[in-house]
Amino acid sequence: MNVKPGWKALLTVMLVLAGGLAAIFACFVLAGFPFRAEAAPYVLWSEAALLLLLLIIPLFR
Amino acid sequence: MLRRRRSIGSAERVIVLEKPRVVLFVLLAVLLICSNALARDYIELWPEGWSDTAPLFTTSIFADRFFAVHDEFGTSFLSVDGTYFKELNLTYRSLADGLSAEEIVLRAQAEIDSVFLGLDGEGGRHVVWLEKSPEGSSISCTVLGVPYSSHEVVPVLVTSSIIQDLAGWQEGPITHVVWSQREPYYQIRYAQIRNGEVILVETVTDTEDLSVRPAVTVDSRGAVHLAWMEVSQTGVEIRWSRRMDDQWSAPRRVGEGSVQDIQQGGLIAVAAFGTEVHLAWSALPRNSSRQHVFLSSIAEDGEPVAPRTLAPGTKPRFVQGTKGPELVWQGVGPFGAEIHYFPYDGERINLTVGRRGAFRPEAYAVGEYRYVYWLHVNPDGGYDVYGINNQFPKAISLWRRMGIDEHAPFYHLAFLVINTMMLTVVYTAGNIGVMAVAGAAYGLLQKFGKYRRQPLFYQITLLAALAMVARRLPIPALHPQFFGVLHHGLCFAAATLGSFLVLRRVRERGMFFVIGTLVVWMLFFQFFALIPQNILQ
Repeated sequence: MNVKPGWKALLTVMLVLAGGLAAIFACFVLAGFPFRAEAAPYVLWSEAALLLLLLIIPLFR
Repeated sequence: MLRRRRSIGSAERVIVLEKPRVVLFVLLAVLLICSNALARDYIELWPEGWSDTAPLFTTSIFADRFFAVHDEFGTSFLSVDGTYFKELNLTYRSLADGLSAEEIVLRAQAEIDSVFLGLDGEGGRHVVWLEKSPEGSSISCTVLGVPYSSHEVVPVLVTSSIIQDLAGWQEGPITHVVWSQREPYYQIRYAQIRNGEVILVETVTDTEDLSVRPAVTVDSRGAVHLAWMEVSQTGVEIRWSRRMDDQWSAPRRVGEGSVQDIQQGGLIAVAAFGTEVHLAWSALPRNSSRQHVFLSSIAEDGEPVAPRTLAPGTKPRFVQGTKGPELVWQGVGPFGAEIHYFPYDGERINLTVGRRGAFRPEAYAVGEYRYVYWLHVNPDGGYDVYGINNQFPKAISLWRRMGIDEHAPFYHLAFLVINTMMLTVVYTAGNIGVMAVAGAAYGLLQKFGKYRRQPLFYQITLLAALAMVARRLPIPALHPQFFGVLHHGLCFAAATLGSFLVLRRVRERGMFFVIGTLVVWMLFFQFFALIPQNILQ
């Protein structure tokens, strides 16, 4: 079937949204619905550590 | 959407539908119209493992607290009901099968200041109350049985002095009662009542400051522990004293209280576990204008432990009948006051159901189970007492676990998706500054060949990580509320993977690719991050 690239992209976006939603709802079901919280400092440090890791990886490849 | 076209070889006009677009348009229109009309815009979420809630009775907030107690003979409540502070009814209720079984007005149409309800372990319900009248103030007591048969009111104290803040503790047949009395300064007085007779009255404090809001308990050795708030020119102190060998120890300072808490009817919660006594109260921590719950303990040697801050909130109460200190308190939430429960060795649980403000919690334990009661405003006047427990947990459907309205799941889901999509655009536009910083940093890294030559998935992950870190910088931006590490991590992963799937066929690697990737990633991230926020809105 010949599907136009535009439709393909739209379909991919829809699939991503549906897949992400399914993953989030599955997380709610398994771990319980989350309540609002304050972001702990370790979340920020985890994000910084991930960035650092990504910056380091190419230097050793 | 409809297009007229002349068919080949025929003069007949035919209408050709551009099928996919029309179908999509019709579907979208139906969803937009129906979902808004039929779906509720929020869902009440239950704390998992806890029961349904229902109103038990209507009361008032003229007294600082109501009482909910339980023993093998049943559950009893004591409350001060009414709509005018000089015409209040002191009402005793017993509960059977979760419903109010007995309702007895012990004192009608009086100005009741404070009350106490204690259990003697043999089915007796000991009630003490403090009332005011133009002639003076008085403290009275009575004893009720289960089931109720009759009661006799016994006057304990009648005085022309100003008295207030009655509190008590029941130890077998003895009722330990404390109150604050002006003579001429406010002092804490202590009394023991047995079989309706006062067997001991003492004045515990002797200062020129205001000694108010006393609380009392008895430990396993029979030592009486008394805590109160001492208000002076310099502030409020939480003080403690112990009665052993018929003598009160010198008052010790346990921590700082707050005038705001006293004004709002705050009390000290005190409970003994073995010979250790725990105290909880609310006060203003340093560098904060919001009241927090403080917790301290006093060991057998009488040395108070430095108080620690538990959480923002007021009105802490210890759960009665537990082996260790467990607390409930009135916290602060987006829709007003919330009820929080802090188990002995567990994590804090938000027990609030729905959007209505809930306040003044009381709690007791029945074996391993916990029963918590609180007040909700009754739209028709007064305050309703609601209860929740973890003995009979509410069955939660799969839809409700997901945060979706089980009565109209698909409409709610459609409403949620459409609403979140619209908000996603707004939140992404509100992150232009963040994307600009992340894009600039990425552009700088691309100057180095080692970063430039990396595969597409790496490039997208790097942009995502840069955007995440840039979000933390002091750049004006719109951020969805935080709903825990798991949800946060999942949003990041889904947005990054989704961006890769959408952009994997793109050959362009210039500036437009960077901008496009950032926008696509940010749209996905905001969409996933906004889901729980929109469910709770």
